[in-house]
Amino acid sequence: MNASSLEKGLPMIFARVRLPDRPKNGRYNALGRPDDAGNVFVVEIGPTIHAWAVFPEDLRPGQAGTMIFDNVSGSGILDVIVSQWLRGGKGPLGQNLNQPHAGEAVILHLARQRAKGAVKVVGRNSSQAEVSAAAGLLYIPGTGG
Amino acid sequence: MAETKASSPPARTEYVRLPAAAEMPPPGETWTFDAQGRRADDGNVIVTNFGVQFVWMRFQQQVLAGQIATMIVTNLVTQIVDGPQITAACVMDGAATEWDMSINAPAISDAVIELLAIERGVGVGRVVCRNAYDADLWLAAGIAAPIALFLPPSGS
Repeated sequence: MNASSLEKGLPMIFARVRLPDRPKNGRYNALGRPDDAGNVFVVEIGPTIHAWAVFPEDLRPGQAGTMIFDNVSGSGILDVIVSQWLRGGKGPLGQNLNQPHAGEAVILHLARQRAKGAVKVVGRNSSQAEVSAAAGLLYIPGTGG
Repeated sequence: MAETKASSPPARTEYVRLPAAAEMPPPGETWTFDAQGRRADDGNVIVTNFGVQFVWMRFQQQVLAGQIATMIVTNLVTQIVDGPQITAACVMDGAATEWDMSINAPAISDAVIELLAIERGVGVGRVVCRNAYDADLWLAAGIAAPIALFLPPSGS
């Protein structure tokens, strides 16, 4: 893996979501508003928020995807990953599918970057199949980390 | 044709089953388990509870020079101890590192271990890495996630 490998082949998919100001368990759209068909899924575990943001388009073989999470306070180091995703119908995480998946396709983790108020994660579909993918972020709202 | 991630020599894959939440170490403690989730002093799974669980999973054979190694961790759910399951699909962090067998702990040397992927499924996590050094090495995959939530006793 090297930087030049990102410069050839299919154009990268680029997506951006704004996390809600006060995230609670549920499903939101890319603007951070509650939406039963949105692409952002939030789970609260104690003080931590686990947010999955699904790429709007599937990743084609060899294609990379970038997801930017906005409205993530501070500039502390955060956990962020990219995983395959099983698309589903309306409903929250895990209902009607809508869940991460560790299947045949390995989604390579290329980068995780931080800016004040934002987090970027980049992954690439290393398989020969077109697959859905999502970026996951673990953070504590309002703390910067 | 898409570029694929090839392993030479052929890749190796190992599985680990985590113990149930009630069998996890209490806050502040580190316990060792075998790959089936049973307590074992010489096991390859080391769990430390710092509020969330930090889990090292040592590969049971050396990872060969250039080889890709995958660790799949199962029974990965978030549950209140002696209580309900919260989710089976939280975000987790992942790592891959060299391992010092003499002290049974992670180690850093000249070798670089490439971290290729950290992925989640429902009840499952996967860490993929490659030994990018020119020697066979003991490696471990690590994850950090809320797995067993120990609530303080009522009234405290």
